[in-house]
Amino acid sequence: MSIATVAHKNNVGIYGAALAHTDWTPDADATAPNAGGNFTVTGAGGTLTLDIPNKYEDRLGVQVPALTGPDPVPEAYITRQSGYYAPPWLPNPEGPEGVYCWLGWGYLYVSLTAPAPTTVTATVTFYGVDTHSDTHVTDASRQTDYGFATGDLSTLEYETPIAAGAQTICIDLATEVPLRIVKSVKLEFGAVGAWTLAEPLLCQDAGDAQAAPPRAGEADHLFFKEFEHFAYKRGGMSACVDGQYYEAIAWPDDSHENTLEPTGGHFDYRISAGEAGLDLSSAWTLLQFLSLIERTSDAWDTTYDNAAAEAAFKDEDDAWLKTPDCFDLRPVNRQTGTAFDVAVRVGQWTTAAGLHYDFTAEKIVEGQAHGWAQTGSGKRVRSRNGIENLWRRTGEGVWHQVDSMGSDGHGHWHSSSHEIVAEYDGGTATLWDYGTGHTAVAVTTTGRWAVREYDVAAISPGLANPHLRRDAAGRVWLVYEDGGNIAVAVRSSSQEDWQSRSNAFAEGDHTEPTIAPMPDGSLIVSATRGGGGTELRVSRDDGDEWAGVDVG
Amino acid sequence: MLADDLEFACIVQVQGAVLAAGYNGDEGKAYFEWSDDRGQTKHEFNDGSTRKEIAASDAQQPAIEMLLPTADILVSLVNGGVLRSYVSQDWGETWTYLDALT
Repeated sequence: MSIATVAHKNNVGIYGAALAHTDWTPDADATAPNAGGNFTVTGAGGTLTLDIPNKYEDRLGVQVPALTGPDPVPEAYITRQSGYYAPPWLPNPEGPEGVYCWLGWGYLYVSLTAPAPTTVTATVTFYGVDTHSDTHVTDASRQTDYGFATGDLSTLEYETPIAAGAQTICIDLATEVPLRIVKSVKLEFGAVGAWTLAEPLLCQDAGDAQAAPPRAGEADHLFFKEFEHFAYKRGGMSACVDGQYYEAIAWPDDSHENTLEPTGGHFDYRISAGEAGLDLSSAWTLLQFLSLIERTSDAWDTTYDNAAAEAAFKDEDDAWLKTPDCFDLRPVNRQTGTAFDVAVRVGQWTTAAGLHYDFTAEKIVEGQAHGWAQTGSGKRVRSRNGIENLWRRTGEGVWHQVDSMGSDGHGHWHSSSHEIVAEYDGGTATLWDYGTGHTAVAVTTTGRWAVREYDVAAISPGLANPHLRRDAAGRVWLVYEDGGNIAVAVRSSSQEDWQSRSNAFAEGDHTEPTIAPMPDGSLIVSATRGGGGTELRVSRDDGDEWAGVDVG
Repeated sequence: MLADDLEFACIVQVQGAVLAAGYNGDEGKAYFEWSDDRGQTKHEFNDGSTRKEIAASDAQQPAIEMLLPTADILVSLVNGGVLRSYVSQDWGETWTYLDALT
């Protein structure tokens, strides 16, 4: 039996204990849903908006400084699990909340019944930035002096086609801004008529039935990383779920931050009040650490097996060798299992006189990078090799390629391990600068890496595979890959610029395009789709609109 | 034979001539060649060479076409993820950079 497990949840409804279908607010072109989720769209583009209530902002902005909150900081700001402080038997219970912290989720699924084929556009409004001013001193001033502020609201918009009838739509939550505090979800419906919706669910990747062709869900959903920092920094645990790596496990704490990577940190950093200012920091116990992972969002379940801990940490006299703490977790990198190895991480060895011992010290001095592989319009680029290259140099020197990056089925890329330090000169280390790009003359610097931490960067396939063909009027048509989309442009002479037309394919996974201007003035574009096979699109208005080729 | 020294060659027929743009992996550049005998032999340019450098290119196929009625030869190629277009107004003797799409 494992002492510690961390498992990802699935199918978490965003209503929590606070909301119901009837809490959606319609605009003038829709009616409010009834208790069964039935509503009517009276004008195309009608919307429903669901405001997601949280107590977090009031807790941190008002209750903590007034010493009237259910918990002091840091637990008060680490906790973002819906309804954690709702139970009435707690001191200063907060009441129910919606599910507002969407860290650790890659997709939102909504089951809908539509009156006709159309589109649904989801707009998620959220705070991706919040700041916490924490003195970490051990007296009450830590609470009264604590400050909390949110940054500007961000939005994530996702449009998906929908057929008539009952189905589940997939809303991709891939974003470079963490979904820390979701304030509202707005759904815009393209067709008038009678609709029905179910509670939106945060889910592991279950595929996308509306994609063309439909996409099956990826089987491997997550991996973990757990590391100790070599310096007095927090180290900690992080995770990547369905490609969503931004703060999948991470909580706000400005003390002893890692150089690059946000994590669920190891330290409970405390400074004694008064002039002495002694550092009273301690590691979270393993039980505390697992609890913080579980309560910092609505994505994780954890277990702690006390009997297994006693078996591992008690001696033959039933005395605890030590209290299991988070440093007793075995460091892992890209672990896909959910059970973590735990063992006593202290010990004492006595060498025997007269025997020869060889001691070997191992120091890990490498870093890695990862991030989204996306099109220019922000769609995931899945399962593609050679999207961009990884480069490094020192100073203003020449870039040297060290890696070629491709994406997994989630549209997530990950580099191999590479050195942090280029060379040592006495006690001075010269660090590598890293960057991503297609060639050495077009590198976007990501900066210096840090030992055992992940740097982040987004990569994009860029433009590729152009094809030219002249039409009957003498104009030349250009098609090319633009990050998985197939873009179209035309020019009449070398003195004119390219005039962009609408993308012939915009699903984000097409390659190898060709174009054929037809004698009747229409255009046909072919492309290979990501799932295999060739598709054709035709335009009869000089590339403004494209449609599938009618084979009937 | 036309384009026998190039990779990823793209050809187009114009007024009976075969125009080719292809990639040379040793140099990382795209070149232009053309033939007036269905590709059996390469046309010799004024300096006696049988190919003309267009520009540096990624290792992928360039595209080639002729604009009419000017007979400008247009080549589009990718270099560093950027799509660059070049034109020749003298049947490939010289090439001029036009513009880039990013």
